[in-house]
Amino acid sequence: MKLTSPEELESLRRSIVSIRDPNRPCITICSGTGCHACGCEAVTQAFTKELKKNKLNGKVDIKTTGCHGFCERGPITVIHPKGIFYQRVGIKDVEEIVSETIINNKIVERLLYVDPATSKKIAYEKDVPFYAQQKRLILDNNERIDPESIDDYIAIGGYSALSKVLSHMKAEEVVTEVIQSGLRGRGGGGFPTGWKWDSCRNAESEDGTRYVICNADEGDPGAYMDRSVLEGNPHSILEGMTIGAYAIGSHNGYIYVRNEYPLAVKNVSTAIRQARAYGLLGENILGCGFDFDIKVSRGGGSFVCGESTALMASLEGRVGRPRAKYVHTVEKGLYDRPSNLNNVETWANVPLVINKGAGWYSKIGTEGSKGTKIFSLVGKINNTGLVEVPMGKPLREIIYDIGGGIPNNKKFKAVQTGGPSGGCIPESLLDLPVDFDELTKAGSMMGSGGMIVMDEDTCMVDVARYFLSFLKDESCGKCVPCREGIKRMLEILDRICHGQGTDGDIELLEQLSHSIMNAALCALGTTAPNPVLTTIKYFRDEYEAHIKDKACPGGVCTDLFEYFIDEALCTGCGRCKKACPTSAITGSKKEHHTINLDACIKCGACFEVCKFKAVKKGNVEGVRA
Amino acid sequence: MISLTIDERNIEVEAGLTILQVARQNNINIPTLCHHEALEPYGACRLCTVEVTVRKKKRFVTACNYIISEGIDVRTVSPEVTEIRRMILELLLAKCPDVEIIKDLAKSYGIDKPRFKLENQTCILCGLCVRVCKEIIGANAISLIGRGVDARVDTPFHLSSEVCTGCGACAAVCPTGVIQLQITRDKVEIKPFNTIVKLKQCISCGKSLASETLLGEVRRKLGNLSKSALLCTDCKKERESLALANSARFFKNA
Repeated sequence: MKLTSPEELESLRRSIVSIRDPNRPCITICSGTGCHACGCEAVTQAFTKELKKNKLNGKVDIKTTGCHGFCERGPITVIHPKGIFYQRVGIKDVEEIVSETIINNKIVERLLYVDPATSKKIAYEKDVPFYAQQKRLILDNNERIDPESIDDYIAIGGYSALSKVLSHMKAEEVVTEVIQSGLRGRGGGGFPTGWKWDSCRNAESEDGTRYVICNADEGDPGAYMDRSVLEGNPHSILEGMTIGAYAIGSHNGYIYVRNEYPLAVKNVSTAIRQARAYGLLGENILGCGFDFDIKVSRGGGSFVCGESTALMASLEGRVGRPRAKYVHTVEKGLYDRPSNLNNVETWANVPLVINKGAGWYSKIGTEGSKGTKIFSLVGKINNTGLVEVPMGKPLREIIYDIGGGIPNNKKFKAVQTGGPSGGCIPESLLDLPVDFDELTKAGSMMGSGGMIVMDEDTCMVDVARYFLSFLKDESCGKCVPCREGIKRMLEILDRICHGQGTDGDIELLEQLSHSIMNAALCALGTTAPNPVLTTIKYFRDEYEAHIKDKACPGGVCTDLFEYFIDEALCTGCGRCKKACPTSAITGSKKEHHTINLDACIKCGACFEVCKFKAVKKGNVEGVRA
Repeated sequence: MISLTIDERNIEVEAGLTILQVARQNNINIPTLCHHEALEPYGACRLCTVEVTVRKKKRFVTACNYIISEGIDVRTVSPEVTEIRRMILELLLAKCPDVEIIKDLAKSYGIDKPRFKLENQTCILCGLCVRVCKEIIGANAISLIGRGVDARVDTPFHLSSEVCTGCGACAAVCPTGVIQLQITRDKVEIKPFNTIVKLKQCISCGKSLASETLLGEVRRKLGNLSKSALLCTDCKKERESLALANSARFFKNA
């Protein structure tokens, strides 16, 4: 059924809503990537079976939705209409949920989330601190819809922004609205979206062709916000792109998505088919005379293809290597035509800006950064998951109030923002309001929104080494500073971590960093030194300890410490002896044990199992002496 | 026309040129390794990095592919530019310590011994060979293979190329001399690319004439070749003058 006018879309929405009973029980199961890994599919099947057994099929709905964000607690199940929040739901819990909650209207206490701060059980999703302190403008819709159902999206007002744009707004008005909203690109650069659209719209094209591209080549280790939006709410991306295309004057769109995101590829392809069937993509959209269609292109697994010029080269079927951007892609991009590339999250913000207006949108956030930002909060943090907060929220609130702090009462050491080429921010800057400009000032960056929390057991030199080895592998190899420079920085860091650092290493790292930042061809290279520079800036003492004292304060670099057993604390229980894979520990029962250093492979098994904290890490020379 | 300054000299030139082109027109030396006038700018060696101030904002750009615009202020020599070039040369010298052009350039920037572990490579991955083969010859016999530190120039799967014409343009543009041709009567061998191109001989004297690939290409475009196309230049000349002499005799006798 093709919709041929905005009115038809609205009447379709009404008819969808009218046949749905808002009070009818609905079991919502998060079907995002995290919950998938935790076995949500089996849980969904179990619910279907259980409802059938109780002859409730047809009376109770089951909805598999996109990512709810609280991945630490998956699989997540929310029972509507009340919004009862069950966490870590397994197949064995299904029977009880159906009999207690669905049939008897009672809450299954043991499946509720317990607030670690107050030790109180929380029954409703909206009251869970992880959610209560967020502002989920984009992510909220993830849990309200089945990503494979266009009707679900339309029911919550989906495509109304497109309808408004096509029927009531001129293209330039759309551009102005987006400029005034203050929306900035969420992919990393933070360029004002509206101005980008404006440049692309006004750029000369020899045959009038312009392209609109969605960058879904999210490659930062530990970051998955674009994935979750594309998997959970693909229509919002299509709607955003279509609005952008109308504003820019484009009729061809591409979504460049990682092939490692099979669910995102599947859901967005389904969404495109559905949108075409409804006439929301294709020729004469909603009978308004505007044509636009989208193709999905799958990336081949190269991190650098997230860079706009490399992405476009890859879309054309060439090797994904960046080129100089002195001529911008909005002027000459894909096939040398004006091309407007925005990130998934940016596109997802567009319908919101149009529906609620630039005035409303620009009230959220800070002076220079408007709206909300999704972060993927990972690492040494209690509440791992996707977090959406207004720009300007202090890091401390994100990490402690929403993230629930550091597990096992460890101390916070640093948080790395902005993906592999972001920087590490120390505790002293935890009150930093998170927006584009503040993070850049601190030597890090917003990037696409990765946030990796590290505790006291982390070695900052090793962290810098890890990110650099990632970047070395992902450098395309075209320009000398990036290809040769990162390799050499990594060599130096390797030496330092192995206790072979020498005086002048820190200075050489700094020199290399500055040359790479100033001379590399693309943003992968120019930002690559960030993890090194920020760790030197904020954790210089750790570098010096490695170089001068041949010690690793974090106890990570195995060449720089030995394990030993503290006589005073050892009870001779023998747990360490049992755990040791190389039989390096000797000692009789109830007597003090010792480690034979020559047989020890420093796996840390004894350290982990000791209940008395008798196994310790010590400076190599000290222990050997 | 566009007016700009390079190293405090006011210059007025036509639009559309790169900084490097303008600098060379004005005898201002900017070092390059991956640039060739006959090829599209590539911007990979970054040695031509210069400082450009546009609307009071200073940035570092590569002279080879930055198109000039009105009022820009270019510095080809500054402490920061020199520092960048020194680092690039130090990195390249560590990679290729025995390559003359790198040694000379590094020396001119005061670098004798790099602070990094020496490697024993000869290719600096400037991409000139790949680009000349693609842009000028049109053969596309070689390309950059692999990513990052594993990048190298080669034929697909390191197999003898079927499209290489043995023209030797790659060797001619190679700044380090790593690409060497070995030419015998019946073949051209390009060792680094594991490629052997067979040569056809002159049907008259037997000297090498042209590669089979090239003649095949000509045949594909022009149809069957006449006999004279398979003669070397010397034999062709000889045959023509003979024909001329014959025809002169004919007219004389008539």
